[in-house]
Amino acid sequence: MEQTNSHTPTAEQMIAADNTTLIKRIMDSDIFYSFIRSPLIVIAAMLCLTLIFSAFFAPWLAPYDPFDQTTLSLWAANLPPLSTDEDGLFYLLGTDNQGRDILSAIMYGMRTSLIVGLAAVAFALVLGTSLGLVAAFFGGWIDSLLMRIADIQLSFPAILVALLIDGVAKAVLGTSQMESLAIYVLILAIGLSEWVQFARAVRAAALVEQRKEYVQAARIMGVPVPYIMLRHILPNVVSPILVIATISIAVAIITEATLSFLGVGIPQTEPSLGTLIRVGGNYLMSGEWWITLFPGFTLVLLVLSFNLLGDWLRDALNPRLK
Amino acid sequence: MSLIEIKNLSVSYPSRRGVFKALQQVSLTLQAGEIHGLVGESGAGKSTIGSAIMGLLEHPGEISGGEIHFCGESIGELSDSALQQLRGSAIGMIFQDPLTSLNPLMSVGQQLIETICYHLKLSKSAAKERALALLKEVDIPQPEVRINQYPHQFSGGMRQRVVIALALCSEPKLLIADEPTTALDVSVQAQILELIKRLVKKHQLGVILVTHDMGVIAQTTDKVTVLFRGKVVESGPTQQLLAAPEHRYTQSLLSAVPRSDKKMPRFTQVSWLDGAKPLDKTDFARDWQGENNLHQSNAVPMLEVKNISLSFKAKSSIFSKTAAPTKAVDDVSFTVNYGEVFGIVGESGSGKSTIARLITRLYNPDSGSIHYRGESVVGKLQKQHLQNFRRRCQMIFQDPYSSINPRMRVRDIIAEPILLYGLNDRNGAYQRVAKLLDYLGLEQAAAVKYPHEFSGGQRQRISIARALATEPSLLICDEPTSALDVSIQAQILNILKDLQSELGLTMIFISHDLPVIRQMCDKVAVMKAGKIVELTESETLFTAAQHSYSQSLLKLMPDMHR
Repeated sequence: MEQTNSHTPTAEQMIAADNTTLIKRIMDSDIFYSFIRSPLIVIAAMLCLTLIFSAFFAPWLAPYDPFDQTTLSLWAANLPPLSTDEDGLFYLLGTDNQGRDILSAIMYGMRTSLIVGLAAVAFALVLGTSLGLVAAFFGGWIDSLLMRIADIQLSFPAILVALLIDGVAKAVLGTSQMESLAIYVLILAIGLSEWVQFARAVRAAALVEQRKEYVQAARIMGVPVPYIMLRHILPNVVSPILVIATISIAVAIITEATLSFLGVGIPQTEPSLGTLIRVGGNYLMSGEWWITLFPGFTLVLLVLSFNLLGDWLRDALNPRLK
Repeated sequence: MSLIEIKNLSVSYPSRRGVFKALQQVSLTLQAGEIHGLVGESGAGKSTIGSAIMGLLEHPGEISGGEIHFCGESIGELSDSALQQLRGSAIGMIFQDPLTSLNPLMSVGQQLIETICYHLKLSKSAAKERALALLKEVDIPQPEVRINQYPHQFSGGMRQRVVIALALCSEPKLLIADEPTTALDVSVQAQILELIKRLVKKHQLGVILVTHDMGVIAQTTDKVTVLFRGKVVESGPTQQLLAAPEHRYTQSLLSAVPRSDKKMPRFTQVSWLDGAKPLDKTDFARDWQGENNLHQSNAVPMLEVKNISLSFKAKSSIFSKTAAPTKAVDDVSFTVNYGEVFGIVGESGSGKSTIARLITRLYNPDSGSIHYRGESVVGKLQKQHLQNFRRRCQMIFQDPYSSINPRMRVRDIIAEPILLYGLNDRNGAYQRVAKLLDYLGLEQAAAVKYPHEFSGGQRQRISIARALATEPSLLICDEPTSALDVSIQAQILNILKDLQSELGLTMIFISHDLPVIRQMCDKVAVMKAGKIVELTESETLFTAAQHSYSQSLLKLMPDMHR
């Protein structure tokens, strides 16, 4: 339609042209427009990116290596923020009881928290989405069975489910093996406690989609069932999945922190944010507030920025609010 | 003094992609006791006028120029609270969907009494008296009983009557009716329009009637304004305007309305459309690899449907006994011959679409048989046979917005069935897509676009292209044009007619629109409550209908040519 020249490009050329202007297309999309127009979301996104960046590049960015026992000195323990120890080393956020730099510990801890959070959500997403699609498409007793399991699981708090799985894993694996596998068990536990959200949302959206005529058209043609689910229905239920995923990351990070805080999550040798908060909590009464406050504050920022992004995404992708 | 006077009204919606001018310099006046029709195609700005009068323009819309005077007062100068007062009491509104304009959790009486108490400051018992009188006035039988019932206990037409009663509660001077009968069946539509006419006479109301239906305009309104893309094209007394339209747009719009009084070879298209290109004719027939049924005569009919029935059971659970099943299709039989267009007509819920879904195997009949070229196509079939039937029997759906997958490129949508049946490799399929696009008057560049870049009519062409991709011999069209504007409808129906005459394609054409049926079909089945009440040649039905139901349908159809 936009081609008024005598020479009309072939389909392949048009696709090529499409790809080169991908950035332009993103800049032109409604989502980007809504993004750039809400300052709060821009700040949240920048914060989120900064935190993720500093977490994953912690080994290069952190001023000290908090796990290197040789550099730790008890002389430098429990220093308040903005202090310098006898060797002239500066600690922006102070040090903990073992003389570890809080800032570095937070950066390393955040990395563990994020890995657990992202991996758990990815696991929950794949599991929940597939089960939701299957439930919606086949209906009948499969649907009933899956959704009743989901209902039962929803009647327990997610943290309880995660604790349960963690406990079972400990009993099966034994303490020594558990130490090394803790992070995988945690991902499994949190993932299994969150698949329900995905399954329910995908099922609801897929039920709406598959009543639409394009799915009926595919059925009339005799398109194979897995193909209808993956090619026709799945791409049309991506928006709710995306929204839930973003919010779920926040929930997963909180769950991990809670488990670690309770001492059943990540072991102290490789502390996550929750572990740092727990350790610091012991010193709160003796006046060393910074050991627990800064990791706590970082956790709040991280979760808040993910939540804000998720809320915004939900509104931006909702055609009824446009 | 006129009841409402609109002078040079402009409404614009500023957005990131520039300002969209929904209305430009629109003027109209309305006297008490007059019904003024606003007619135009979708996007013409009909409903925007109503919203502007009510002060209910959706964000970010704004009145960018002009004035609205209501009983001599300028609406623009009123304060918010005065506007609210006006909106509630002096102007009443009737919406398209009677289901959503009533609160499902309140009884009809509660809703009426609450509104009356608020506006007329009456006591509860006096308000109830008035509510009963109103229900009686809008012809609700047994108002004393009905007043305590909830909206779901009313039928669609009855609900719309309640909505009208609700609009009359505050004794308004002006009623804005936005497509009040579009969601209703023909028979109910006629009654509702009659009721509105009677109320106007009795109460000296002014009514602004927004509709896209020329038949409704012809039968109901005193004056009419034709809108095109936010501008007034023509305005005047209805009789005069319909008899002798001056503007070319009005002329072509009127001629595009399918006629019910005689069969025409082709539909007249709306010629006055900016930017729309006339269709180039490519010789598609020569290219057609499928069968051409034009000169075939066969002893066996193409499709034979015998005594099929299907009932929907309410879902049973352990807590309740299964409710009585509803019979969607009840002992229906018909045959479709080669190269024939077989029409199925009926009101909503009569089982028309269910028949289409039975033939295409989306549903399995409870009893009865369906034979395609003498072979059964019901129940479990051999893979080869099933594949062949699916390929030869394709369907076009009603809603062009939901019948194509929004996340696929157009060429993949059309190529899907070709690849599915292994008729060609990907390259060959894309070549075929190019030919189909050309035949249906779409540009080649359309192939790599996504559906949202197309209008309703263009999407329906994509949908037709997909159905034709496998070169079917039986095409089932389920209300293919009822979601489209008149001008687009004419184009789509012409395409279908050409297909039929060039390829001898056999078609089952399902519609609720009698004039369209007359133009398209050779044979017609009239359906009511799951049964075929009359099956006859199309011409016979329109000239000498036998069954009383068909006769009443014909009588009630709003028609501007009468």
